[in-house]
Amino acid sequence: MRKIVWTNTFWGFCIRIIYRIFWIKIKYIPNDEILWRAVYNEKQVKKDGTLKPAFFRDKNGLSCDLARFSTIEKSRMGHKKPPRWGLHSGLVELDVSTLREIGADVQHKPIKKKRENNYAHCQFSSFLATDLARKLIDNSRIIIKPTFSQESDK
Amino acid sequence: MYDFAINTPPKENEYFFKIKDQVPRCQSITPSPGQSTNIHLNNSMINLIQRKKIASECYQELDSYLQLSPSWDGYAGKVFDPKLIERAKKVVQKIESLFNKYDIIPNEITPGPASDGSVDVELSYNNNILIFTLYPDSEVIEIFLSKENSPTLELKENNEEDSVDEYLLGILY
Repeated sequence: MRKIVWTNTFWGFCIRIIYRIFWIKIKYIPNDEILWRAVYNEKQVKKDGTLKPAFFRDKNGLSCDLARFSTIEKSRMGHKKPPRWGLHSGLVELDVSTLREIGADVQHKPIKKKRENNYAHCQFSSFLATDLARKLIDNSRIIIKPTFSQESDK
Repeated sequence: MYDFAINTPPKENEYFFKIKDQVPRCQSITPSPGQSTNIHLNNSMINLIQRKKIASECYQELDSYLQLSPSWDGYAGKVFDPKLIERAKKVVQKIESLFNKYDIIPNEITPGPASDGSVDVELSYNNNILIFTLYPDSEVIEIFLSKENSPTLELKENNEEDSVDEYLLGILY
């Protein structure tokens, strides 16, 4: 069951639903899985559209979503009702293997709150200093370009 | 190309430009009555104006971090400590004064906010990159230096803001 959950098959889909319903915490995320992190604020992006190194830095554990258990729109909107984020936010994608190659790791930490249910939520388990954050930026992909407005500052 | 406020000339054939708090004197002027006035600036003044513009954008962005509310990054982003922003501004001042001293223009000075309330000041010059990282709960400044001709990336920690100059010189040579 643990292997099937990561497959793109009908049974994989069914098992993922079971995982979500019973809020089963995933112990190990395979290397070929994908992580998403929303680009919410224009201050996280340089004038040329590239990410600033600070985008991947958080001493408290950087938040991201496990793509397998999310959708692009949900990750962009912050898994909240009403949506936490506006439609201006972008989305950055990176491979779990990339994270592990630079000596970091990620853990599944689903969030269940009154107004926020995010089973896909994950957290970096190690802090990325500037040199590692830059490596991650070089190896990540902006899959949805943010379109910022003044709203994003508020 | 630049926004200038041209004041009444205090002397004949002499104009002053007001650029924020600085009033650099222009080298020469060719008044043409009834037509637009041609103003000649020497390279040093153009460099000064460009540096001022880059630094002023940087100060503005750092100030804007103080307006950010909790969860500004869409996750659990922390708000920024005004003292930290002041420290970051001091680093920018040091960068500005060094580049003024050598009369050169940095490619960019970009501040960067992190979710944990820390701030970067990234300086780029001639494909060399120097990043200062300042944390709210520590006086230590992390310094990252990436030089074009040197494959090694350095990450150093320093708790003396005065020695920032030493690393700034490292990006020039």
